[in-house]
Amino acid sequence: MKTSHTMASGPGQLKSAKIIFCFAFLVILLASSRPLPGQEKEYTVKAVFLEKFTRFVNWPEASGMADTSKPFVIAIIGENPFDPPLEQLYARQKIRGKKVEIRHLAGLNAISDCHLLFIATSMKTRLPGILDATRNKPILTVGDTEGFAEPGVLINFYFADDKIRFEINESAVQASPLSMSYLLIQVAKIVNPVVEQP
Amino acid sequence: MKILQNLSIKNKLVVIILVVSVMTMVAGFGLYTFYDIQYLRKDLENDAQLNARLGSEYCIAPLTFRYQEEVAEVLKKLAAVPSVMAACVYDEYGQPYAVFHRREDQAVPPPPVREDTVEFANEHLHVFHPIFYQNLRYGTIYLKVSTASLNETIKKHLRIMALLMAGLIGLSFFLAHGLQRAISKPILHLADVTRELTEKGDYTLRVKREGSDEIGALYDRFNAMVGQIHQRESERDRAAAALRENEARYRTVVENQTEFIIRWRPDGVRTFANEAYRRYFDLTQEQVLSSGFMGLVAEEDRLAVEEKISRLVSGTVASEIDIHRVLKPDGSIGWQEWIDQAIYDETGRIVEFQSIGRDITERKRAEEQIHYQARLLASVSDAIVASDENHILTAWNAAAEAMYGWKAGEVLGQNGLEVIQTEFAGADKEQMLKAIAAAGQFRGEVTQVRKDGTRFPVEVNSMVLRDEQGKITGFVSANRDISERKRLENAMLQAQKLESLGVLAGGIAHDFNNMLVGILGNAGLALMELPSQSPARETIKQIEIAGQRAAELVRQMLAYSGRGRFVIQPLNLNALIEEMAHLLQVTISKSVILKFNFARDLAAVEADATQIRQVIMNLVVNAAEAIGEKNGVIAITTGAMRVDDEYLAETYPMSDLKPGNFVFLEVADTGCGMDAETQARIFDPFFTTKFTGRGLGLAAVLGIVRGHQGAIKISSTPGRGTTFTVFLPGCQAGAAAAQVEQGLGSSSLFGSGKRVLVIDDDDTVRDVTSRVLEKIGFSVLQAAGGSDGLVTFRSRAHEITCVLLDLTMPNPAGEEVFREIRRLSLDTPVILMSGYNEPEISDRFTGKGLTGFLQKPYRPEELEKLLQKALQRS
Repeated sequence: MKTSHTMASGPGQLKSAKIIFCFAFLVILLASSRPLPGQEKEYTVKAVFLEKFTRFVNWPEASGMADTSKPFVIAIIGENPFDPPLEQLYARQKIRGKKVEIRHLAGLNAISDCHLLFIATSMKTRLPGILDATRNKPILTVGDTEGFAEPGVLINFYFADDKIRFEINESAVQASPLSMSYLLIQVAKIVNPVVEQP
Repeated sequence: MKILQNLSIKNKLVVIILVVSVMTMVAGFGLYTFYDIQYLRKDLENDAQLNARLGSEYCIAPLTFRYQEEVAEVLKKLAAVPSVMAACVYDEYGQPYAVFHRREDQAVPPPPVREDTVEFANEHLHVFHPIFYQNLRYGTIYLKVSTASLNETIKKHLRIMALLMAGLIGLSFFLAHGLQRAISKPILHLADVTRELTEKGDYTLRVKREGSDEIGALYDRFNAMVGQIHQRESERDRAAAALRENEARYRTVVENQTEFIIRWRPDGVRTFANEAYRRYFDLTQEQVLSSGFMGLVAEEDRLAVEEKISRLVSGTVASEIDIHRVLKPDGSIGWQEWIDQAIYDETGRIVEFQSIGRDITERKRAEEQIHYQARLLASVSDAIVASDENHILTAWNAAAEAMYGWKAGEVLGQNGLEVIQTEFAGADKEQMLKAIAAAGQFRGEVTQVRKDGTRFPVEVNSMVLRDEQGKITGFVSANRDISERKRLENAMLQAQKLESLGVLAGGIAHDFNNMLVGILGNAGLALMELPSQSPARETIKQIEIAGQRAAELVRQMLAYSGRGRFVIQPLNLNALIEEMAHLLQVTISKSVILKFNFARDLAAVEADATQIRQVIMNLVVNAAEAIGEKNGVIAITTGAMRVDDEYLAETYPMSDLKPGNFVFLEVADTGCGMDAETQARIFDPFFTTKFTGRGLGLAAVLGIVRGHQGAIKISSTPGRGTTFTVFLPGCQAGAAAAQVEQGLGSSSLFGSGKRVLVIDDDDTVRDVTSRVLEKIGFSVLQAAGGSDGLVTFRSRAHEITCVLLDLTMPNPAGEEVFREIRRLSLDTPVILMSGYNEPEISDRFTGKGLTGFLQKPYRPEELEKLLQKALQRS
């Protein structure tokens, strides 16, 4: 969040420095100022939420989260709903101290290399395959389609009272190598809660 | 602490224990309460902080995703804690995000955000806690916690503690009350015993020891002390008894003293007086002790006594001897002698004074008697000289000192006979002394020698002193210097000599003068009658000259007797001497030089010019004769000087001239001078050193000077010369020219037949006078005596132009005749004739109408001149 002071030194990777600057400014505004749902774009908020989820989730060591030289990889499978694109949003925003790399996956083959996998609504039909591919892997799966959570997507966006909220499949989280802070669980709707063994 | 001092020992102990207990409890409970409150507060803080932390945790995720409802929900959950009155969550920018108030009516806006603080304020605990997650700040949570429960708890604790303390203090009091006895009881016991001991004086009492603590040891020592006191007491009693005995002995000694003994304090009040003192002043013991002695000291001595006392009191002196008068009870004055002494204590401080005295009234009286006698002796004008039987001098009074010149200290103890050399006229000294001793006294005139060697006449009145057995014990002598008496006696003798000679001379002179009137008158008449060619004229002239010399002699005799004729007038001595200068020069030898030293502005003298001329002439002639044939100088000096008694004492004649201003005339020569013996006699009549002298020159000079109330002083040294100084009283009228005798006009017959009555018992005088009168044209009536004259005058008074009356006639005397004539006629001129001098006559006839005076013997010209004057006047 405290990234505003690094904006001017951005690398000239993108087409227009000026545009980047304007986007970054906008992102910051959206992310840190009062997010007024009516006015904000739905996917901008969801993009910002992605980073916020990562704060409460711990990846196993094998995921190389400690090595800040390697990027945090966000993969999008299916039809990309993010507009403006995530690349713009995370051009300067780091996640857990790492640069963010956005990948658009065409098939299931590349799934294992990412840390966070956003499963677009278009992949509704191919969801069981995706879940199979990510099962037992340290990948935080995020969906924004109703009914995604119950099969095993870890976090799934939904609307309630005109607010973007999310649900968490607690059992799936427990089953995955990832660990999730109870603070996150506390504000989410729990799907498939973990039943305490007597 | 003062209050504590006056408490009984029991109460003191209780109070002390209570005070200590209360203080300790208050401190303990106070400390406990303080920490209790601190703890309770900390507890509350911890609770609040815990709640805040919990709340903050639950807020992290809702804040992350900005779920405001959830945040509010968390705050509502915090409301489950009843003490939380309000809560607020601020976002990461410090803006209130969610607010909770327990009571909406008391809702106040949340305070501005603060960092992590816990603070009590306004009866609430304010807790701010920042919300962090993984080093990210999400905001701040604020809790406002009520402290009401805390205060309640504290109050409860305090109540318990107060109760507890009250209970403990009560317990302490009971304990203190019980325990103090352990200390106070033995002390009170000791106090009781001590009181009994002091009240009864029973030193056999002891305290009973119960414990072996310090009080036990104190009991032992107390008992030992009382034992010592007891022992000492008995010793003291024994000593006091001995002392009393001793004191009684001393008191007897002191009281039976005849001397006075008193003791007194520095303020003068007596602390003791013995029997002798009390009896002397008739005082009781009480009177002695209640007053000072100063009131008994006589008024006039009080100051001196006070001064001595103050010296003693101030410590300047340790003792004083004081003799003063006192007032005795009977009102008389007594004398006392005192020896005052300061009495010191061991430290040298004056405690009081002791005086020992005695009555010395008798001694004083004797001393005064002695002093009185000594004063008497000293005031006696006679020299009082006393000696013992060996002539050793024992008394020598002031008059003796003055008379002999030795001071008493020089001669007392010396042999009186050796000190005063005495010559008994015509007697041997040793024999005289023996005679005096035998006679027992001596009275007579002797000559004695003063210390300075001068001899002087002394009238001695000596007594021999004898004791009861008749043994000679000494001599006493009252000696009187009779130099002055001797001198006066001599003067008296001289005066008597002069007086008798004067009477003789006067008598002779009267007869002589009558005779000389005859001689000179007849000679004068003869010369008138004789033709100028007559050879007898020379003879008659010689008779006249001899007669005149005889008259001169008579005049000198009268002058000596002081009865010469005086024509007193103011006279200038200088002029008189100048006039005589030529005459003097021719009178004396040519080898003698005459010098004159005249004082200027010399006062005139009242004198008779003729007699003063005679004085000068006599003195100059004497001076020239003293020089003799040798060369010499005679100096005649005039002047004025003041003459005092002392000076007059050395002059002749011995008379009682008053001191004053005198004019003097001095005749000094360089002749042979005179010895003392000659000097003493030069004024004696008929004493002369000259072969041809008659011895009347200086006698006449002295007579004249005496007649002028003057004096003569002689100083002469044999071989050197003599100076005569004649003093005459100065005249107030001032200098006057010496009267120059006017020449008589040529004789003429101015009588022109006028009748003159001549009364004289001497035929020669009457006859010569008549003839002279007739010669000058008068017609003369003669009467051979007073009665005869009066008869003639009565019968022919109208014819008589003038009366010539002899004074020295018998029956009736000239004086009576004169009075009778004056009775009959007031204006008939009367001329008296006499051999005596005019002042004498003038005195007797002053204011009686005397016309003139004719001194016998007279020459016809003198008679003529006087008649002329008398008739002119009438």
